[in-house]
Amino acid sequence: MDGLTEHDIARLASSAQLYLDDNTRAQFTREINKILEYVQVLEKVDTEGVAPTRHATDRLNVFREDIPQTPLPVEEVFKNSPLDDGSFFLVPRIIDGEENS
Amino acid sequence: MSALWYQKTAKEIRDAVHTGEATALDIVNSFIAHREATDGTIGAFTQCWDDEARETARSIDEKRQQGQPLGPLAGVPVSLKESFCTRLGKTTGASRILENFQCPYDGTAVTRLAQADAVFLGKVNMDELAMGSSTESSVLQRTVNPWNHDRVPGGSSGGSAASVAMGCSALSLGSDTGSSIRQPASFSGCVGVKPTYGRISRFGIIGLAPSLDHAGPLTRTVEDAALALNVLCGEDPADSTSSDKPVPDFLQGLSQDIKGLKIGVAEEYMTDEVDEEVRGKITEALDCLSSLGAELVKISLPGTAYDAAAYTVISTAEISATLARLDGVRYGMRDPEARTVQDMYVMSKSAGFGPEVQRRILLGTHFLSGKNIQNCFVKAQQARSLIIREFEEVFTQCDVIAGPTTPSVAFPFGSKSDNPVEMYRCDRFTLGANLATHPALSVPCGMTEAGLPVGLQLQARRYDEETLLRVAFHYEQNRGFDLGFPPIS
Repeated sequence: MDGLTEHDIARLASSAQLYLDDNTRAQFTREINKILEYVQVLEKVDTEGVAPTRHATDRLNVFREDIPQTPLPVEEVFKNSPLDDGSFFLVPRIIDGEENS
Repeated sequence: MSALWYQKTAKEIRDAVHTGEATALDIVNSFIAHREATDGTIGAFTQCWDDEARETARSIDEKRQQGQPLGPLAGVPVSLKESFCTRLGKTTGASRILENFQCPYDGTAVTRLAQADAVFLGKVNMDELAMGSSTESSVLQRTVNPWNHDRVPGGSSGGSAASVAMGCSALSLGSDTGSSIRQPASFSGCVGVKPTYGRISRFGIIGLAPSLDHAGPLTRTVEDAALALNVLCGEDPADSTSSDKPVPDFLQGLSQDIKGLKIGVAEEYMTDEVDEEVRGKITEALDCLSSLGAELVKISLPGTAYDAAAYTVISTAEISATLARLDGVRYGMRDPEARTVQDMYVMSKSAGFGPEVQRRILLGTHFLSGKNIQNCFVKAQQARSLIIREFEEVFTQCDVIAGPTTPSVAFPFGSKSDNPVEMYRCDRFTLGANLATHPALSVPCGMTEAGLPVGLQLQARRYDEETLLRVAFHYEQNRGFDLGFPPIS
């Protein structure tokens, strides 16, 4: 496994919607490469033909009766909203991306 | 008289309230006074709900006066990790991104404690969004180890462990994704139990890695942990991964002796990398179990060499996916300066998440990118299957596995914060139980010369908390010392 460059870290940050300043990017590059070196031990584990464990529960298809439940009252739903009009959460305009909502 | 109720166990408190030997209000007042005297130095509590706690205590006392039945935790003062959702106060996860979050509902574990007539004293500190092993990544405050204030309390449930060890709460609710109940219990000197995955509902806990997250109690005695598990465990319609297996009476199961039980001792847990003093205390604990009639058997867990690597890949991948929900749209921090949706995401997340959280998100994003999905993420999930098999095989040779919870005792502040690999490696004995989902606990097994607690980790078969608790209980009753309380400075 090749090490990651600062450019790779910047690309990952962009995918993860994070902004990194120059110092943080350099620091993360060093630290993440150390961690990647550490997880390389997995390459030596023989996993040929082994099914991956994708979840931890031993339950399958947990069903319940299709009975409507009582939802949270609207004012509770919006209690923590950064911006809303009482019916919708508001975000900056998406289509032209310029003006605020 | 105002007895020193904070020195009593949860069970003693519960019994005193049931019989009328004490009022819940007197008990709560004793704990509040003790916290006021000590927590300025320790820093475990992030929110104190004194008025509400007294009000709950009064209502429990009234219930008793009216002859109404009382719950199994009547009057027991409880603290909650900052990651447990409550209608009361804030649920911050010790992160800036949720610093003002007021949850509109209570998590299921919290509801179950309330229904059992527990009294909530407030919330306690943790590593930011439960990522860390020292509580140093909290944005709220610093929590110190109650036995040595220059050292960390462990993490991520560091506030829970410190508050229980110090006697500021009789029970604390914590969560454990890789070590976060057992490691702080070991560092701070209390009992911490991570039951089988699904035993306790995850509904209403700020999640980290859904396939590895567990909730559990931190207490001063094994009996108190059993009492708490009786209340906390059980199926929850709000969490489809919660277990529908019947929950036995864990208290009742404690008394049966441990003669003939096989205790597995893994060579991988007793290497030179473990501090000599820690190994010495574990050996003494194994001798004690042997003297009680348990049979020590040698076992091998070669997966210990790579379970930390598998854990790192799986947990960070899950973290990067689950934390995408904290995007500043419906709740949590939003940068008001953002003019576009893209800026809103980037500015809110970048200012809201601390460095440890950001680093793990980036790592997880890497493991879930392109070919890494197969080469890293699926590979780690395959390694997880091998680890599960290995534990299943070992549990045909023994009933319980015993060893150190951590390779060393609590470390000084700052000594590992610049070295994430070193920090992750402290957890290498505890991760197996999260990957394989079986129950495990830490119980104090002595103090080093320098006065720091050492923890004995016990692990048992999936859903066999009864045997796990029984072995821990008999060890605790016969270990030959009482940890007592840290000195008040």
